[in-house]
Parts: sequence; C-alpha cells; structure tokens
Amino acid sequence: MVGSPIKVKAVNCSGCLRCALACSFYNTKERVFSFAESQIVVRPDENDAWFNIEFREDCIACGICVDHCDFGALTWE
Amino acid sequence: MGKLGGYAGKILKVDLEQKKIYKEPLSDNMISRFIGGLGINFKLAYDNVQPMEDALGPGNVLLFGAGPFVGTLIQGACKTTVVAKTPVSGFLGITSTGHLGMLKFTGYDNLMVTGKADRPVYLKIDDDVEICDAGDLWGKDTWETTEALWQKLGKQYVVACIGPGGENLAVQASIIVNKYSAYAQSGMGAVMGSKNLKAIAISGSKSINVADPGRFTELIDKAYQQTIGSQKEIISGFRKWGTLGALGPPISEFGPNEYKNYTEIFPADPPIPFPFDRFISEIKIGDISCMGCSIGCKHLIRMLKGENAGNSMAVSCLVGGMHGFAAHCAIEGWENAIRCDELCNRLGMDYLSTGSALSFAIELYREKIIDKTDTEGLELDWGTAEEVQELLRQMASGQGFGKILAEGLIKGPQLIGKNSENYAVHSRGHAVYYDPRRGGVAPDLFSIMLNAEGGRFHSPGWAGGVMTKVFLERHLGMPSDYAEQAIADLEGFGLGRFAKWAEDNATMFDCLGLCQMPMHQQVELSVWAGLYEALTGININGEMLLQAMGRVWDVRRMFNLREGRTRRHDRFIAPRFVSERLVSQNKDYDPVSEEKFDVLLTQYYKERGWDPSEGTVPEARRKALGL
Repeated sequence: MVGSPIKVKAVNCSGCLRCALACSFYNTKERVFSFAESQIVVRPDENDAWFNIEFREDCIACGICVDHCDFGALTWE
Repeated sequence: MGKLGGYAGKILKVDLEQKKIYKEPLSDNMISRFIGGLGINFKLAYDNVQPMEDALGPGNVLLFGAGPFVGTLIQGACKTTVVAKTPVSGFLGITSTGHLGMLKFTGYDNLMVTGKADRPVYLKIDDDVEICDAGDLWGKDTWETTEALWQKLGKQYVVACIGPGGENLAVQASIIVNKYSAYAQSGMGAVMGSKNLKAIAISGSKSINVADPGRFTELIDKAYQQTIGSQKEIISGFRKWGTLGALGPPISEFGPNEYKNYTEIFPADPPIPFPFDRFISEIKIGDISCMGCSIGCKHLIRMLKGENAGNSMAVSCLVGGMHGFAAHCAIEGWENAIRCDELCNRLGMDYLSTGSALSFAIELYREKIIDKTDTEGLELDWGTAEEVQELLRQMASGQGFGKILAEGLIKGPQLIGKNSENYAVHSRGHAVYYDPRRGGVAPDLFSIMLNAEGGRFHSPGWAGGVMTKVFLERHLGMPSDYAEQAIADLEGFGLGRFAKWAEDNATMFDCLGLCQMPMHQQVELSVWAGLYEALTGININGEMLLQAMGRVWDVRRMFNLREGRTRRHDRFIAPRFVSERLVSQNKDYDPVSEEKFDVLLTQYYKERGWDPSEGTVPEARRKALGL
C-alpha cells in the first residue's frame, strides 16, 4: 500500500512473525494462517536491523499487524 | 466442529540413498495416539531405525516434527523437534528450536530423512521437494552456507544447515537455523552430516486451517493473558535479559553455573567478570523472538572481538554459552564469551556440550593426565580463551586433540584412558545443566539426571520449581488426592512418582509445539486442551492429553530398551556428583546418594506402569501401540 499510515521501525522487529500470522487469520474468509495470504512480509536482513518489513499491494492498513506487534516495530503514524 | 485444523496432514519422507521422495498422509491413528511433533517423531524413529544401528550410519533417520499448534497465533507455539538415535549416548536423542515452523506451511507436519546421499546435497522444500547438489556448500560455515542459499533461492527460505562440526561428525554438532537458532544438543548436526545433508531450505505457501475460529480466538486471548498479560513485569525482564537471568537466583541456586568443570561455584550471582550494565549499554542491540512468540528472550548482540568485531549477531540461548564457556571453562569477559558463541554458531557446535568437553580437557591438563604432547602444544588452563577457542576449532574440524573431544564424554575418556572418565561430567554422554549436589533431587532435576536425552535443561521434567498442590493439579493435571500424596511424600522421596507427571506435562508441550519456558507453564491444562479442540476439531481434554504422553514415553522407552538400555544405564550419575563434595564460601554440599536415587528410580518405573526392576513396558501396552 502506497502511503501507508502504518509506520515501520525495522530495528525494533524481533522476527516473531505474529503480524503476518494475524494478518492472514483475521483477514481471510477461511480464517487460515498463511504467509502467502498475509499482506505483510518479514524477511531476514543484516546488521542492526535483523529483519526487513514490507507490505504487499493489497494491504488495506487495517492495523491488525500493529495490534499484534509487541516490539514497537509497527505503529500508527 | 468443522474441518480438521492445526495439522498440515502429511509426512514427508526423503530417501537420500535411493533419491526418492514420498508424501504420506498423517494417519488419524498416529494423531490420536501420539498427538504430534515429538510424539510422532518417536514413533517414526521406532518404526524406521533397526535395532543397534550405528547412529552415524545410513540406517539412522533424522526426523523433524512440528506439532499442531506450530504456525498459529498461540503464544509460544514455536517449537519444532528433531529426533534421531543420538551418537552422544546411542539412545533416542531429542533437540528443539523455535524457528522451523515454516515446515507446516509446506504441507508437512513431519519430515523424515533416511539413508545417505552419495555426495553432499541440500533439500529444497517448497511447493515441490528437490534433492539438490551441495558440493559448493560443503566446507562452508553455517553463516556462509545460509547466505549462499539465500542468494540462490531468496530470503523467503528458512535455512537449517550444518557447519564443519556436523560435516566432521563431532557429537556436539548442532543444526543452525537462519544463522542463529540452534537445534543444539544430541549431536543432530553430526547425524545430518553423516547423511551428507548440508542444509534444508524451506519456503511454504500453504495454509493452516482452524476448525472453530471463534472459540480459538477466545482461547488464544486467554492463553496470551495467562502468559504475557498477567506477568508484564516478568516478561519485560525476561525480554531484557533473556536466558541470562539464569545466571542469578533462583535458577543459579540449582547449580547450572558450576565453575571449572563442576569443581566450584561461580564466584558471584551474577558473575563479576560479566557486568550486566555493559551488556545493555554496549552489547545488546535488540530482541529476537521465535515464531509466534511475543516474549523475545533471544538477543541481537554486537560482536566485540575477532574478524567480525562491530558486526551484529543473533543468539538463541545466550546463557548456554555462559554455562559452557564462562562457568565451566572460566572464560572471563563478554568479549571472550561472545567470541566463543560466535565460533559455535558458525562452526555448528552446541554451546553447552562443547563447553563441557573443553572444561573436561582443561581439568585433565591441570591434573597432568594429558600434556602438551597430547594437545599439540596448546597449554590449557582455566580462562585461557585463545586456547579454548583453538581447541573448539579443532573439535569442529576433527583435528588434533579436538578430534578426541569431538567423540564426546563417553568415548573420549575411553580413548584417553588413565581413569579420565572420573573427570567427565555428563548424563549418559549429554552435558548436564544442574548440579544435583546443590539443587537437590527435585522431580525436574531427577528427571534430567535420568532422562536428559537431549540435555535441554527444562526438559523433560521441568516442574517450574513450584511444588505445590495447586501447581500439581492445575498445571500438571495430577488428580487432587494424588497431589496430596505426592506432597506428603516429598521428603520420603515420592519424587520418582512426581517426576512422571512433570515429564508428561513437559512432553505435551513438545508434542503440541509449545515453548517450555516458565511463563507458558502458567497456562491451565484445560486451556491447552481447549485450544487443541478449537484448532483441530478433535475432542480432547487435559486427562486425555496426558494419557497420550504416557504412550509417547512408552515408545521412547521401547526404543531405548531395544538399544540395550537397562537399569544400570538409568542409575548412572556422573562420578563427580556421587564422590565429591562441592565446597563454597557459604555452604558445603554433600555428594548425591546413589542408594536414594535407586529408590526414586523404582518409584518412577512403577508410576510409569513399567516393570519396577528394569523398567520394561508391559506386553499389553506394547501390543496396543504396535511395538
């Protein structure tokens, strides 16, 4: 999503993937856990940010991922 | 109830010798009897390893298992287990880590690797399964291997690989996931290396169903509240320090930090050569979590020494390195301890068992049982960081005196001779976490002495340290009248009986895919059972879950009996623990009584329903399980 109101602070990301798991579970009709269905993608990075966070095009900024981030990596702008 | 949820529904079998791949359904029978994860791994090991096979031969199997909770939002549902006949003891070996849940998203609950490839290979598991050439990866360390596979396949792949330690069959070799998360103990890296299997790269696009999403949502919130929500202060501390908290009381009082190969007590709680304020201000960069966990007890830290000084490194169980190197080998200073951890991660070696072997070597050198001619010039002493690190490299590369240490704490002393086995501190070859002289023989500690077939310190019988009736009833699922008896009989050594309940409860975590850290043990058994029902659609209650764990332990016992396990093996306690007093400034601790331990063993056998003299499993139960 271009111009997302969700602010990403990758250095705070612990790689728990709860954002991605929650995104698919709460936003799919079938209520499944799926990284393919998730609109947020967390992948390994390097150096002081150990993870990289990106949103897929179909993200609607519903905020489920923000609700499930306990590390301050995802917040509202 | 709706569709079957939680389970991916298939077992992936890869025969490296025949280069064949089989995808088999996970049967209802397997699910109902053994639940998942560890339990199913045990049964597959029993069915597929012929008796008395060489643990490092092609007849052994390497099993990965992810329980039904893994890959969901259940707090702490991250643990996948690896099982094989271990080269450490020759019995069933176990280890686990929190970052291979991706397996479930490829459509498999369990992965079984059999045979030996005729050349180095790696497994690529995504929508397809492929055995790929790994000739260019062999010889690389775990970081180089992971980077190479990420470059080739993309970072959507989770990479589990071995380093030189596994390639050279060191029994301390681990399997490292995504450069840091370790299947640490039991020498599973060596089993993987013996199969010429360098790495497994996994990326899944499949989904995990939930049978009853409404009830499931209510219960994941309840489990979250009972772990995270109601213990915010504890969680905050746990996240800040991670497992380093075990360097201080109350955990330190059980003796995990025993100094200089268990001859002394660490000089202070927490230890002086490791200022904690410096850890926060200069070393720790961030928190690292396992999949699905809001606690984040692992760390992203700054390396301070060596060619990577200044760069960051993720570490899984930091206190494991502190026990292995700072306590057992008396290495001082964060720079040196972290350098040892880095080498272990890269070489694919377990912190604790490697440190235990190295501290054994240092003591032999000090006692003049070995000398410079044995160590090829290395002068060993407590705290000699450079020498310890060199010997660590030798262990991983199969060179010098390190090659003997890499045989482990049973075979190594046999090769050295000169009564060196008296200095080896282990539990049937596995490095131990507790000192029974200091911690006493509590159910969990008794269980660790008896059944530490993976050496994980809080498994298989971690009882949370709170021996109360409420704990027994609410969290271990022990019937009320039984709990009263267990408490009344504590001083009279009813602990053997108690240990069975603690083990079954902890094993349930391994079968479901849960982390065993204490905060997860605050969740009521009925909540776990409810979550299982809501997720899978299979009716169950806490009692039924624990009954299944009894079956899991029967299978484990049968595997080990088939390998020649006897009461003599069960009653082994490291010579130091039964013959030497532990002396400290404040208090002295007596050796463990072998006679008392023997009494507990009989109790334990009885409580498991096994033969009280040798711990054999009754015929009717064997037949019912098809054993």
